[in-house]
Amino acid sequence: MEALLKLSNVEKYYGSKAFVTKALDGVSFQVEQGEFLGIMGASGSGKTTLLNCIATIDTVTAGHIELRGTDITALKDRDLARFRMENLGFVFQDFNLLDTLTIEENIALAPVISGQEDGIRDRVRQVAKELGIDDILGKFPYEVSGGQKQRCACARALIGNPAIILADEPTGALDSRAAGMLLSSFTDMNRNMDATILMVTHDIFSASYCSRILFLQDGRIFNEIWRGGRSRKEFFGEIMDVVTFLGGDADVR
Amino acid sequence: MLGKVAFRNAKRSVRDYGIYMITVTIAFALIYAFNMLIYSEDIQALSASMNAMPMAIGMVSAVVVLAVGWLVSYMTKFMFQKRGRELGTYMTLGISNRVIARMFLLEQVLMGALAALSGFILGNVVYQVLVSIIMNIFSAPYEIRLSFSVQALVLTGVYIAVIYLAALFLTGKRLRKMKICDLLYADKKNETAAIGRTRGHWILLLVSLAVGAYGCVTLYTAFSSGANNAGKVTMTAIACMIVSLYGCYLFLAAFLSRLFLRSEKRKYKKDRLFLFRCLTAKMNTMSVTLGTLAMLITLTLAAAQSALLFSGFFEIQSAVSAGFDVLITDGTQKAREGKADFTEYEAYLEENLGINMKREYALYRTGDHTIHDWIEAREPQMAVHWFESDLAMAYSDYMALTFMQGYEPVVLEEDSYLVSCMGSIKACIGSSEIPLELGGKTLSLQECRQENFAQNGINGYYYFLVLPDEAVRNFEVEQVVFAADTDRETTEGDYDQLEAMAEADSEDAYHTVWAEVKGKTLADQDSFFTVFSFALFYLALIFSCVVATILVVQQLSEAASYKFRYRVLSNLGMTERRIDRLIFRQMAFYFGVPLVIPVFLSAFITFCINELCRNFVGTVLLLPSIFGALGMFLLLYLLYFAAAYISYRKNVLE
Repeated sequence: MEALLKLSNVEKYYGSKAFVTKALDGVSFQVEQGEFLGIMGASGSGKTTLLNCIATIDTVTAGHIELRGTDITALKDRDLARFRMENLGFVFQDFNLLDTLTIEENIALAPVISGQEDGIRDRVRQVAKELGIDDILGKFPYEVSGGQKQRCACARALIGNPAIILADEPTGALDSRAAGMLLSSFTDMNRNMDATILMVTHDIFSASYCSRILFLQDGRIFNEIWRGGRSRKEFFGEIMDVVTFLGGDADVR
Repeated sequence: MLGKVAFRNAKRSVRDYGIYMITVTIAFALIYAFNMLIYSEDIQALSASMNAMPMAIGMVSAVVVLAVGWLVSYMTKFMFQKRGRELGTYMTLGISNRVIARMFLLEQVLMGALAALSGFILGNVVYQVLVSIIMNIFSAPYEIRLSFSVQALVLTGVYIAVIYLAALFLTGKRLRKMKICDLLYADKKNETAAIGRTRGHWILLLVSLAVGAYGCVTLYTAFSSGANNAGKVTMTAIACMIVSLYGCYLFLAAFLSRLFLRSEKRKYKKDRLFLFRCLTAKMNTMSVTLGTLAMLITLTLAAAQSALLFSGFFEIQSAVSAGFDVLITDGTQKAREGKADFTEYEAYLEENLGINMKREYALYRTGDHTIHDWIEAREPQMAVHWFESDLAMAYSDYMALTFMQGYEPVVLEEDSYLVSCMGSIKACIGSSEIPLELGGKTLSLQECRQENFAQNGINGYYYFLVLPDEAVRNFEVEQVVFAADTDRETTEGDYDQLEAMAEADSEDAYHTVWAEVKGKTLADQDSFFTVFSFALFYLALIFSCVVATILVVQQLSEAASYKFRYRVLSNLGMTERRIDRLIFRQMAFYFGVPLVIPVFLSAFITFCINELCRNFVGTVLLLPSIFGALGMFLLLYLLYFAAAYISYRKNVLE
């Protein structure tokens, strides 16, 4: 089966001639349709840079990233907006909701601006219901809790049926209860709505919800583990072992 | 949806940047009100000299449009930077740069439209106030009525369009080029310092100060010597001052931090470390803006001070001859030979205004220039070679004219003479004893009298001598004057009639016969005052608002990051009272720094401008003008400071 997302030898350098930092150093991997992939690593290991390169937020120095057969590193600036709208969904650590719009309007914004207004209300309601936020649709972001905000961000990411949802530390700003609820929503989206999710995290608890985890160290893939048929608890234990081996710097809840 | 988002964002921005909106509204209101003055027939009808008003206001409006344009561009760029994350979010949602640009610009247009609309409404009120002030100056009757001028509306609309099109063009370019990565992580980036951290900043600071000093000396030379190339020299001086202002603010921060950090004793004392670091950090990142603000403050103060100076000058100048209702001066050969004829003028006055008192008298050439030489030796720029010798008036004529003007009579003692002069000459002569040798007789100076006695070319220039009647008997006549006190008040119309007669009587193209009419002199004074002072105050008011707004908005927008810093201080054990004091000091420093150089520089500029009218008014107007304008500016500045301090304190401490 053709991979949904394919990275080949991706490199990303920062800095000038004198001080070059290799944020990504020959990263290659694939993501299949319907996967829930986690990317873990210590601070400065290149996790967010990797996500930003896949998200077209940042550009690569060398290598190729293909999504559904399209090489995004070759896309022109003017085509990027449409590409993002049709293929990518984002969930950020600090939600990035627009405070002048209600929850419903935040979810509906992107499709409406791209001209997909027909039946938008029903679609928003359906996604909101699946994520358990249908009762707060009329509220503004400052009127709801952090967990609800993040689920609103998930609904916003889901509404356009993207090829992949990219999440950057989505539980970073949530308490453990809200984080648990959000991760259950992720699992639900992944299993029941066939959403492919790529999540960057340094939280072992969050990572244990994934089906596969890549460990980054100094910009390279250091290890890769699958959950397979194991329980979340067992998987948590294995992640813990790898993190301990890597030298810590991860949250254990 | 796009419109809805833009509308809601605009609503939020209006709330967040309230002070900016108020300033822009005030600016538009003033622009509209002054444009209405240009097109007001009531105002134009006040005096023929008011035709200078459209030109003066037009020129000032051009500068005002530049300043307000800068403010709008600055604020648009500022909002764009502050909302980087939000704009980045739109991009991650797949909304194209063009659509985002359109939305952001639409917001700015909505805010501009709101300011323009409120400005037009407020402008009508401001116009009524301005008109009633002007009518009051001219003592003309006026009743408040709703006014509307299509031309003023269109002209103001054009100005506003220019302001916003320039701002939108600049921001539009930036918006189309923006990168999602820069926007999303904009708040994590450090601000860039205007200049690098190299040594030798104090040398550059000294160079800047030296350039400024050179500019000051050049300006003084241009204004005091009245050189042929004064325009070119003035431009050089202004350029030097601008370079110096920017230079000083660029290098001052670096110089101050070096000076401060070197001494550990100074550095680790009380709250100084925190306070000083906050201030120098701010100065490092916005030194160019501080330079611009300093330039605007200098202009504001210089404009307001000049407005006060000129209004005083016009008042003093017109008062010189305003004691007489009508003065007709005849300097033709015929008059010198004793054949001056004022019957025609007299008949006109008798018929149209009625004559209460009249006097025909002569100004004599003494053939001596003792007083002129005395003045030239002490104040060379005041010694005007208008007449070949000192002019004198017979004591009997002087007494008659003194009575006509309603002054107290003066007794001339034997073998004495008087000098009747303007303030500047009085300051020069004082109570000196200047013996005068005339016709083999020595006269002593009884008194140098400062009084308004038409010493503006009619009764001498700046001064004339009063001699005993027998002393002037053998002197040649320089000119003959007919003075009249009329029953009814004179008008500009009377001046036109009398001046037409005088022109017909003149021997050649030079006005050897001319008329001076009180009604015309006062109308001219009122017009000059209205045109010059109003235009300059208009400029000063807008500039003050622009400057204060930028300072306030800058400070308030950083309240969030300062809240964190103050919380750290609180966690480290600083009491709320001390934090409160620190906030006040920080704000006072921040508002005070851009004032330091402009206060002195503007006073110096006004001193130079005063040189232009020094012969007439001396330096009596200088200090009142400087401190008066400074007081008015500080009052407005303090209002903005108070608004900023109160909301900043609330934001930080809550």
